[in-house]
Amino acid sequence: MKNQKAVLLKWAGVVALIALIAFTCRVTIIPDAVPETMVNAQGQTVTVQKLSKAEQYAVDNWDSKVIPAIKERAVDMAVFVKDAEADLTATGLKYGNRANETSAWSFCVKGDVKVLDIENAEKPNKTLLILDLAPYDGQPDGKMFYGKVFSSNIKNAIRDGVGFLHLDDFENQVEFADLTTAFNNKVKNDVLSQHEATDLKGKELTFYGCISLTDATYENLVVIPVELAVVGG
Amino acid sequence: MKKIIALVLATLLVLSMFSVAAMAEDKPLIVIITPSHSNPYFKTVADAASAKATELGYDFLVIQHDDDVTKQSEAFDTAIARKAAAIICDNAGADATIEPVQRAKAAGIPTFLVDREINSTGDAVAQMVSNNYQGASLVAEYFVEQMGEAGNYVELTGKESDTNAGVRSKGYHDVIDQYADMKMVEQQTANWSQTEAYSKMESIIQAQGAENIKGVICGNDTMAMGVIEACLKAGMKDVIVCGFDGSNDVRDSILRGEIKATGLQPIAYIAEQAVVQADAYIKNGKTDKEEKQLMDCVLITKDNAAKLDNFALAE
Repeated sequence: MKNQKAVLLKWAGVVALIALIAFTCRVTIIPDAVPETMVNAQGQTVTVQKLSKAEQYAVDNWDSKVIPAIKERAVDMAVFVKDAEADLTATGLKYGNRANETSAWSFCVKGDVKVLDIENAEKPNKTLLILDLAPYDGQPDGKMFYGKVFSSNIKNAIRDGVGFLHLDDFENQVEFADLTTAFNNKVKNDVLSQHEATDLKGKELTFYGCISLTDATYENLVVIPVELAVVGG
Repeated sequence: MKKIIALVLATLLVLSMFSVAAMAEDKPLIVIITPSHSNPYFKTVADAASAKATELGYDFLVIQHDDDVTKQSEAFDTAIARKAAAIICDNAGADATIEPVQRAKAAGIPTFLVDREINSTGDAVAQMVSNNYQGASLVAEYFVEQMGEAGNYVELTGKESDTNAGVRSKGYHDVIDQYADMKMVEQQTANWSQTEAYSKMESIIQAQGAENIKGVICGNDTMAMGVIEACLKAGMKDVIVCGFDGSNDVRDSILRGEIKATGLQPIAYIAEQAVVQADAYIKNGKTDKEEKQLMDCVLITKDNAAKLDNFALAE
């Protein structure tokens, strides 16, 4: 009995030793990330934020691939609205694209519009322009996103609308989702920052943009502009 | 005598890990590997896949890995030894699963991953997962709206080794962090567990004070169930709790006016489609689908909760 106990103790010691070795050897040395720095216009040394893969992709391809693809695929918004209202799935199969069988259809559109009114003018996150599509009749035909927070029902419009971006080409769904954020940030910084929404009321605009839809009702017809010009402005 | 009893018990324990379907030798076998069925979500994976396998003329074998990579590795060994025609797997770790999938592939057995991604492509034939990021965005948008775009909140995250824990948390924050007045006062993992969520939430309430917590956003439904229990016990009747998965427990809680929302993962559909694609692959050597396939989630609130049952929404 005593002998057994001694053997048991010995083995327990060996196991503990192995566990200790295994534990202490499991040290991963992560080198401190060396921040790259640059000297800015004011002569200060500032850290350069490294772009994520998706942000880098958006920067590298926005002008050379994304915008040209949207212009090539763009359908006149008035025609698109009529088609989508008649049969969204058929329209999607004809000139739309979607990330997978369960996601919204996304399209590239263009048009001449008049801004009838501003929705949520006092809520900068959710501001929308109310659009009258040419030929103008004073009636609202759709909306343009002009806010800061892209809601999930519209936010993949650019990524999925261009038709050449697929999940398999990216590491995982996070990186694929980051692409959407990168494109939408580009819109926020380059397109929506040009004018105050309230200044656009009553103005005529020409635009290229993308739109995502699961059903083609007026409330859902919200286009994200990628190029926007005020006529005569 | 004791030894014999122990031996018998151990044998029974091992046997209980395998629930074997009809053992007709002539039908090809599909092995279905999932986490523990103590979470009804994973039972749905096994049930939906095995029903479809039977319908398409296969035998099936369900093995639970309990989120233990060693058990999962043994399950793959079993599939290889039994010369399975295909493996359907809801895996135990994005990195740890790569090697077993490669081992099966080398043995000529295709693997169809459901629910959770792995960190490699070209090894599994398919990786069919819920669009966790999209689902998390939906839940976070509703959470922010219910919070009135302002206030203190707590986040409970899932198990770190599971990609979905990180994806959902990122989906939540990509929405919530756009609102300057939303303040996260605590972020902790409760490892997908209801009991852990309950005790962590209890401590958080003690530390922060019930009046200083307006909402809690959780990485899954079981944690949301633990959280709501702790909050109600602390008298926090108006707390805004959201989960993720779309379980019947949370459905009932939503209908009682307690938990506010969850993101439904169409997991029954995913599990069935994995078997359909395995069948196509077994017969034709290909599936005509991309490897990574995302299925969008649906927001469940008091408006549509009544239509939810076993991770599927009635039309």
